[in-house]
Amino acid sequence: MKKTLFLSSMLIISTTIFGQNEKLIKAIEVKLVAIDTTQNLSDLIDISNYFERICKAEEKEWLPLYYKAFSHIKIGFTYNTMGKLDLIDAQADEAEKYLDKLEAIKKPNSETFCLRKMVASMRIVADPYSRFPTYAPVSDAAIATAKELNPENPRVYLLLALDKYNIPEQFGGSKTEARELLKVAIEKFNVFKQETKAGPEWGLAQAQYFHSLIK
Amino acid sequence: MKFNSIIPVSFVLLFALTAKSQITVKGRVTDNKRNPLIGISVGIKDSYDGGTSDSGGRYAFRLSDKADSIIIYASSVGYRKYEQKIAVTSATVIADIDLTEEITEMKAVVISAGSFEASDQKRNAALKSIDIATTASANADVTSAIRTLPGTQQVGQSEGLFVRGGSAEETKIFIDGTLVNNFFYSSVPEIAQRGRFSPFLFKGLLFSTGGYSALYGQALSSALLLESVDLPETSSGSVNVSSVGINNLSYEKLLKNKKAGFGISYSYLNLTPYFKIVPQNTDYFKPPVYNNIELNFRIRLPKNGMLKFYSYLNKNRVGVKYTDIDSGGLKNSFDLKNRNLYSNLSLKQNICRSWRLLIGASFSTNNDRIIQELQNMGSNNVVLTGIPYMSKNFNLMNTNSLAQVRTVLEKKLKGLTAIRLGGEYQLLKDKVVFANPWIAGRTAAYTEHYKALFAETDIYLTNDIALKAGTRYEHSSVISKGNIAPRISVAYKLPNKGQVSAACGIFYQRPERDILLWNNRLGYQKASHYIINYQKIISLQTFRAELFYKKYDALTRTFPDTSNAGNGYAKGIDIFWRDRKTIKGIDYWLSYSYLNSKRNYLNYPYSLAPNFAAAHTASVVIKKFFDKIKLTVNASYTYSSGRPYFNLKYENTLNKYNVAHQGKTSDYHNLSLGLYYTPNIGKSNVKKQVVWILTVTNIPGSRQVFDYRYSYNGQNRQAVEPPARRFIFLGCFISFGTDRTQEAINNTL
Repeated sequence: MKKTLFLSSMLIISTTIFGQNEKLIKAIEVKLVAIDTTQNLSDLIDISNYFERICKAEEKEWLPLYYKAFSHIKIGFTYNTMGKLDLIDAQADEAEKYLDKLEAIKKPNSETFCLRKMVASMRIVADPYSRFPTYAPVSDAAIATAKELNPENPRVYLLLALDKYNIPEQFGGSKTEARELLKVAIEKFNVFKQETKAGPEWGLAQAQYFHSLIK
Repeated sequence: MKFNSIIPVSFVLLFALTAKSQITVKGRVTDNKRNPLIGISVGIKDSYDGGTSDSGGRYAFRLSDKADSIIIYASSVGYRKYEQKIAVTSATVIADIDLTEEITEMKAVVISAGSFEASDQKRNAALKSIDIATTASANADVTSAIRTLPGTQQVGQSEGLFVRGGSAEETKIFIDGTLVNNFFYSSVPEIAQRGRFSPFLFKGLLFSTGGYSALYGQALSSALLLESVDLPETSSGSVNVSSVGINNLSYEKLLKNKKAGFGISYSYLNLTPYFKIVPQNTDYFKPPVYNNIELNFRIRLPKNGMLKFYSYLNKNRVGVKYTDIDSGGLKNSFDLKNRNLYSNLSLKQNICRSWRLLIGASFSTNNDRIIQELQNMGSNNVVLTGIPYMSKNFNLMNTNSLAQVRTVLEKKLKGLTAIRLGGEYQLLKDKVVFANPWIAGRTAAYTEHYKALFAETDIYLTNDIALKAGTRYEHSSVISKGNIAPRISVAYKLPNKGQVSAACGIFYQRPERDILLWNNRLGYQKASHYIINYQKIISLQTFRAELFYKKYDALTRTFPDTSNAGNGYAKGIDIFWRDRKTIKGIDYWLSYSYLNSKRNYLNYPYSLAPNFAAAHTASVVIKKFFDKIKLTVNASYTYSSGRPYFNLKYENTLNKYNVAHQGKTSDYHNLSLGLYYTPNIGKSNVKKQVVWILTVTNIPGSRQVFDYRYSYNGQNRQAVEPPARRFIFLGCFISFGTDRTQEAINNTL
């Protein structure tokens, strides 16, 4: 009897002391592959809702906010491929809302600046002709800061490479430069060490995919 | 006993942590109209459990912990938060969720009657900020670009916006809320002047063709609201040179903390070389020369605040000669020297409890010195007595200054509902000193203290119905009378994404300065607007149609007596279509206006269609960017049916004015082209961006007749035409700034 009691009370203690964090990390890790690779809109919305629930339950944690913002960025870019440009701004607004919340509890880091850069890019793709002059400098400044804060962050090089890849050659895009940057990105992905468990680690698959596209 | 109660509890806990519970929560998410809602997040408070609703609005998930009761919530952007406590009594909990739509900018109807917006941020804006600068026919002139919108007239012989049968004086222009008194360069007879301010100073504008907000007043027809730019994204310098001089030498500095910045710019325009190369029909003995300095600073403040200062100082001179229509052989010489100072200080900041404070203050002063002479062929002054020659020699000095302050308090309530309260005070001093060979000097002046109080509310009942109601109390000291001007508009969203809105309101305006200088016994002129608008915006396409009726009362009459006995009306339809979707890469818009307007004012003997009211006006603007050659091509074509012209001749014997002769000018056509070449876009290692600009107005060189001038005896008439058939602008605009992407990439490779 006593044993059971002891065991169960230990369990209670461990869940309250260690378990909470473990539970959070586990919950995030479940979706890490999905958020990196999913292209399907309804799956992305489901992931976004998933992280929203964690954000609500764990108000002091930055990672759920990070992934929630990231999911809106993914949704925004999915709308772009679907040609639903008028739906992009609302996703950018949501992403910014969660990034603001994140920066209220944690100092902005290289990863959050990467997301800021992507939000600026989203704003541009929604209306390139009139927004490029306003948001291109925002995007450039964000990625430059991301690099300054952590030159080893592979996602910085992936994002720079995607810009080089997507921008037409006459506007400074270059497939060869993109390839070089992707190479750097992949190298950095291979040695990238996570500072926090369940921290950002997305991008390798995308880097490899685009790298394979460029001959 | 004690143990017995603890053991099951600990077992339950153990069970809960090791195995999933068997409790399923499911249900359906719908809106108020019972339509299923897709993609809604449903969750359990203080847990990670939850799911997403599918295409039928259905959701289902399992609880990871056992519980006696759960708090279920649902959330989605645009819907009110839902939270409900539910007791868990069986293995399946069924919870159907009804979400109430929130009133949001994304979904709500827009009160669009009468107003056109240019903005890069707002989804309902008909124009983008850059459209104002790059419309081919406009040559980067704000109001010329606006003339490609419906409701405006193509008046070429005088500056200003002639809106829906209204004269240019009936349109008032505001920068950051405060009135700009001398928005255009001072008038030169029969030559429309440009606006003083560059379109790049503004990040957005709202052009009202009628029924505008109670926050603004003293404009019978239209209000143009310009919003100045905020802090730049980076520090930069620019050098803009062109066929008319140095358009801009400027430096904008953004401080390191990105919270403040300042800028300075200088420009020098001289049309002498251009007029040598491109001959003008008008004899410019002093081609226009402008010297211009602009200063600004902007400081970002806490609580979403911003303090902005802008100042403009300009000196210019122009001299033109016209053949004297009465004499044959003599000329009229007009020599104008102008100095203008404009400065504007504005503050925006959130204060306590969702109140926002907006304060605007401005000071401007304008001075014109005009020498008008009758000259012989040798350019010597000739003084002749008797009518009409007596009035052809004079010196005139106009000085006016305006100081004003305006405060608006805005409170945001639930949804988009808002209240705005405020007031403004304007001190206007206007003076003219007149002299001719017989009168040594005569001064006329007046001082106006204008006060206004206003209140306005936006009420959104649902996303589909909105109402804007406001009223304005104004008091003018020169009239020494107050008035109350109520305005109301409503908007209703149709099921097909279209919307209908209607507006009506009363607008007052004091008589023009010529009247006030010599006679101050007149009262307000009055206009009543009635507008119905249909608008449909779907992704990258905008359609608008608007019917309007405007009634003028108490217009100023100058003959047979000086009184408020004038009246008139304007009615018609405006249509606008913009499409950035149908033809890939091509952005175009079409405008059409039909106008029927007559008025009896000034010295009109009876009700006449004024010479600024053409029945049909249409514009097409097309833009395409050729990315391979980095060239933007912008073409515009404007058509206007002929405008009335008439000779109002005073009949001595009858002691009245008669329409001695009248007709309609030929149709107006203007096909313009603008080419913008940006060779450095995206090139690596560029420290500067270059834009080459070539614009040509009226490419085919069709004859444009704006009006006719008559000799005093009515025997002769001459067509009023622009100084040259075409205007050609060639410019090279270079801006220096640092491109950080390139740095980042170059450091990497």
